[in-house]
Amino acid sequence: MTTDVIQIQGIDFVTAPSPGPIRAGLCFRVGMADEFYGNHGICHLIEHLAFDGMLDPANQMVHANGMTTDIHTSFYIEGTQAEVVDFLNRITANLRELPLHRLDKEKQVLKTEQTRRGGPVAEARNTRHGLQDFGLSGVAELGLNRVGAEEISAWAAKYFTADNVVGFLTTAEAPEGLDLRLPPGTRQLPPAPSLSPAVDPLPRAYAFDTNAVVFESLVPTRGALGMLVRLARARFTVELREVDAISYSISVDTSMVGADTARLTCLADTEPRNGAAVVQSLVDQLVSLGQGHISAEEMERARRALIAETEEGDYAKQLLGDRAIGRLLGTPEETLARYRRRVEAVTVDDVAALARTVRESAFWITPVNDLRWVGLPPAKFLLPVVEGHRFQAINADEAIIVSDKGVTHYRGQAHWTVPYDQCVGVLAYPDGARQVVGVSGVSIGIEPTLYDGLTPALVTALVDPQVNADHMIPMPARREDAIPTAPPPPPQAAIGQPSYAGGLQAAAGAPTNDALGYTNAPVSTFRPGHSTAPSGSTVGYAWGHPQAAMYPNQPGMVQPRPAKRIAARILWVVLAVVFSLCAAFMLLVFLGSLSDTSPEIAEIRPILIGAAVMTGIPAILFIRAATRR
Amino acid sequence: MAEWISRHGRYYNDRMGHPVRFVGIEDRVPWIRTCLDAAAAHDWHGLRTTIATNATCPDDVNATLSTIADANPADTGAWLRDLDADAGPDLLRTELMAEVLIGAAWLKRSHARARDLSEHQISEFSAGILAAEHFLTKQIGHHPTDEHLWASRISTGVGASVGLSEITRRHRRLATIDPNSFAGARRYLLALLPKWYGTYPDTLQFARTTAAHAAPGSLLRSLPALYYADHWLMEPDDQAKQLLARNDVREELVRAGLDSVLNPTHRPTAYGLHMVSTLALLLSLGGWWADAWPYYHILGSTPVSGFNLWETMRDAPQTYLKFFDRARQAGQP
Repeated sequence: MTTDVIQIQGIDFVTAPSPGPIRAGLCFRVGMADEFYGNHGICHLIEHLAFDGMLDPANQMVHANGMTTDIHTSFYIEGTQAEVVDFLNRITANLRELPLHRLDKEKQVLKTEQTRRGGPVAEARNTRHGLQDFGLSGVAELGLNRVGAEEISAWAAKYFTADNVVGFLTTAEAPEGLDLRLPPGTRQLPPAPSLSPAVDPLPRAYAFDTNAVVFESLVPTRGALGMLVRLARARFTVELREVDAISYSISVDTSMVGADTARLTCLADTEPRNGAAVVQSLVDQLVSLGQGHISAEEMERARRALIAETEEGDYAKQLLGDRAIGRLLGTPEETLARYRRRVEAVTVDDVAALARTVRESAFWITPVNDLRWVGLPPAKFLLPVVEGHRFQAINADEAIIVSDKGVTHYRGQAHWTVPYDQCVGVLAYPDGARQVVGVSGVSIGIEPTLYDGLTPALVTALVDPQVNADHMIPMPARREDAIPTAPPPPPQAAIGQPSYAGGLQAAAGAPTNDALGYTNAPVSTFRPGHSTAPSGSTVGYAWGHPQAAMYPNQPGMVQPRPAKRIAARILWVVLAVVFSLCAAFMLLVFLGSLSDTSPEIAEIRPILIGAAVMTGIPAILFIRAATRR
Repeated sequence: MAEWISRHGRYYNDRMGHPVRFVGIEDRVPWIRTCLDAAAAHDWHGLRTTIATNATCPDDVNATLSTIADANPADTGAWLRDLDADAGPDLLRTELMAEVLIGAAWLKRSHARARDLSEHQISEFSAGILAAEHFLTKQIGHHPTDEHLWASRISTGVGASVGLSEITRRHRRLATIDPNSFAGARRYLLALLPKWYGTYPDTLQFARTTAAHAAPGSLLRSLPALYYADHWLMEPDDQAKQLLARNDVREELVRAGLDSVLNPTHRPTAYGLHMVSTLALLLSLGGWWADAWPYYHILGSTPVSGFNLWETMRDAPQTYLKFFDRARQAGQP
């Protein structure tokens, strides 16, 4: 099998002639990583628009699809020569002139497609990068509420050009009838991956309600990556599944994030109660690999497997898409022979060095709250409080502070802040409510109906001028019953207790998929797009995580069981009453004796006062014990 | 009994004298005293040679390392670090260092009850245990099948609150390497207690299952007794005493002793001496004086603490003497 590069109408095509149906595609160097929160979804929308007319039963192509990833937007087909030509021609024609009449309908379709996203792998990316560049994958495409036809056309004109695409084909020559005219442009480099302030520096972990443990690292693509992936996959599977029996399915995969950088992602499913064991087992193996404890047999097995992969019949055909994307990114071309030589040359030290890099730069998503014992501090989402206008929640132990620097939300003693310089978007509701979304994923809802003195006009006057227009995302009007209302005054006994206005129901999925038209309250949530929060309150890592109860008692902090505590308290109360009564009785007798001057009475007076003191002191101690909190 | 003592005289004696003196195992097992002295003198060669010559099983090594580590963790730790810098890593030194780090953490915490600890003590303890935990993570990478490191890892796991699933994984790893490890089983049993991660039924089930699968004479056969000891230790009230006075519990304690430390095939270990002391106390507390006599007979006037169990008794030497006399009256032929 040979591979080559040909030019068809000014576009580079990676080719690998092979028998059978023709496989072809176009890969554009633009993806979600090029977007920002305020226009997130624009590539996906254009990908959908490019398919206009192809879902008609008369034209329907079964083996065709489109894909928007972090770094590329691609269109694929497998079929006859006529089908391939027709498909590529239609795609390029639609990209030349976007079928903007489909805009609203495709936005609705995308809203439906989004409901299938999420999960711990997406969560790992979102939390690692924040709600920006490589962290937008899996996040609700709220930007579609803001972007209009003009912005979409401008985006297509910049990115979907003849100079920003590489094709692939399984024929040696261009099929006849192709019309791939695209406007000229420039090759766009992929953005450098950002690191969310919440996870800097790595390694770190974030607790998530999941049945899996995920870790991921960004690593160099060349060198020992293939070998490490093979070795890690084998080790993890043996240790977690066969030896420890705490995971069923373990995967270790890589994906490109740049010309010479890849994302290594490991996912091991597990019951949440075994999460800590899975993390430690994975860390143990990463440590072992990093120390170079790899047998010659293991190395050879991994090496042979990697090379055998390249000897499979349709390897070059399978690899075509990857080669096209590599060329698109500017990754140096590599022949199979050279690749094999490189694999043969990988040493244990190479693998060990890479394993250390992986461990030291890993970000983890786990069902475990506290992993500091394994050297993984939690992601940090708390920022300093801003000073400004303070609004007290009506009938709730919450408050919000709005200033020209940002927004702070208080619930009881806990607080969360989104500074405007870390704000990636503000969801603007027609009724005046705003939800300020921070890059780390913390968001704060400013709901006029929930705070004393806050009016819709005041909210817009305080918030809107502080926000870049590109970050202001208009949201659809909400049904009246979806606008939260202040809770009734609490019963007298409950005054001072935290109150969660509206309850979970009103806040579920606050700014997620519903944002394109569903009714939901712009209440404060933690990790928009993924987690839910009680309405009218901000939920933070250390306080509000659903698994907070998983914290075991700290060493030396074992609490007596409630039944024992209650029994002890009752005992103290009884003893306090008994001794107090005794002391009071002795004191009264003593006082009564003062009026009697007989010598007999005088003799027993010291005894009486002594008895009063001797019963009074324990009484005081018992009262203290009974009233101790 | 005379025959038993003659076989095990290296560890035990039946001399009863006054006053009663509680001693460390190094006072009953002379070679452990030699090890302690070698460590105090920073004589690594002497320490290593003594252990290699005298330890008859991994539990003996574990008991010795723990004893050295608890004696003077700061000094021993500094010495071991110097040695590593001069002579490079050494597995026995690594094992000892792990125990030293654990011992140092507990020294900062003290053995006071949790509610009596200051915040400073708790944070110092946590920092110390985390240091040991991280040390062990690194060392397990180098020595993935070393049972002493896995045993230490069970202890640090409990202290560092890693959760039951991970502690269970650690114990399973250890049990795979050495199914007869009493040190590991004992540490895991502690983790299963309600004050950490488990329940009394879970703990008792583990003790019984492990004992049932152990060979006659193995110290693992005494695990149910260890469970009752810890149950009593945590709830030293009438209920716990009533538990020990139950016939079925008596039978289980007697069986635990006969199958382990009193079994003809038992190979004496330092931990075995602690179990003898533990059984003596438990049977006494249950009022089973005649059954307790063989253990007092072994302990004589210099008993060990039974994993610190006797230390919880008020005026332990006097109580010991009283229990000894009652057991002798009931048990001596």
